[in-house]
Amino acid sequence: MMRRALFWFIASALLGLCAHMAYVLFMPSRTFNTALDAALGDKGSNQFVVLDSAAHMKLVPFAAGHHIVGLCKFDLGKGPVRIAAEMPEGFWTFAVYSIRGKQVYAINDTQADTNSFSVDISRDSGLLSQLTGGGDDGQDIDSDQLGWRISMPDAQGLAIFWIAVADPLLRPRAKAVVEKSRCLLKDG
Amino acid sequence: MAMKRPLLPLIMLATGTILGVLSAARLLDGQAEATSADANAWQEWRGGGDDLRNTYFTGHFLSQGQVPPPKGTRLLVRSTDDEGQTLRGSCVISVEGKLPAARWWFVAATSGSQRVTLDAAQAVREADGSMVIAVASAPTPGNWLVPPGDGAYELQLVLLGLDDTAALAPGSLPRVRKLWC
Repeated sequence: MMRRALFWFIASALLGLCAHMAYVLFMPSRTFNTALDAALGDKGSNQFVVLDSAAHMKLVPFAAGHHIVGLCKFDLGKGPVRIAAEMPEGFWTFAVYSIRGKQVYAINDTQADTNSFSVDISRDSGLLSQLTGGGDDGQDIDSDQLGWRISMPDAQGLAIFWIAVADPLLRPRAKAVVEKSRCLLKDG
Repeated sequence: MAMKRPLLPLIMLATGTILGVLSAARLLDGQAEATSADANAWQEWRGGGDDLRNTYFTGHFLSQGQVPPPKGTRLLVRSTDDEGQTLRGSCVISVEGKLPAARWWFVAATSGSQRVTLDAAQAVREADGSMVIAVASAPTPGNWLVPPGDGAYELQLVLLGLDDTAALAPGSLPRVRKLWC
């Protein structure tokens, strides 16, 4: 009787652990993807879009209403993606996340030392890297004339342009600069 | 009695599953850590460290449909004043003190997706580098932030250009005092 009870106790503990892990690993990214798709509207993958203030304040908790947030949800399933970024003068951060929310790469205005650059994103072909979920995490950056090259294990991801415009009056001019950015299949 | 025996395993398995889900939801919601004993109601979600901690860090933001802060961005939040009272738009509060030496910062009063902000370029500082921000629904002299409605809200402090791993020293974050309601 005791052994039977112990068996069911261990089984329920293991089931609880599985439920915990499944919730932590899958529910947040599912919720986020729903929110992301709502923010992007009819824009599909591999397109750059500057969000309106209402949309970016829902999606980006660290941005003020007069800031500018640009997004590119990319899909590496059809090949590498190139993001050609045009940033205005001032504070900005460019970050790449996997679709599961892991930050793969980030750079800001002082680190980049330029407001015009490109980033090539490709899928990490290493099986071990895909299993462990580890990308190069910005460490294996190949700097050349085009900009930077990064790889990641997930087929889908998100590039975010966050421009912390200091003065709301400068927003239209800064937005016009950011809107020149492009996100497209590299060999497309 | 014969009916009860198969029920026990089912109850145990169901309890295990429910506890697993509840503990996950609680950990995703409550991983913020106090950053300063001197201004102890400020809390910060911090990534870095091991993969397990990062999973909960990113999961916290993703589960609210939000992007996690990128490297180099510190996001601190609080929903109470220094005496532990919930921040409400019907009250007038004062955010006062010095800030860590960030490249840039902003203070925001948020409720849902509403966010009213005051940033480094807009704020007027005292001679010693400290600042006083009044959060009030009626206009006040000096730095003034309008709360998002009369109900409960949260204060955010976003710091840009600080080392992600550096601990914030006690006293380096502003105090939040309720002046009147």
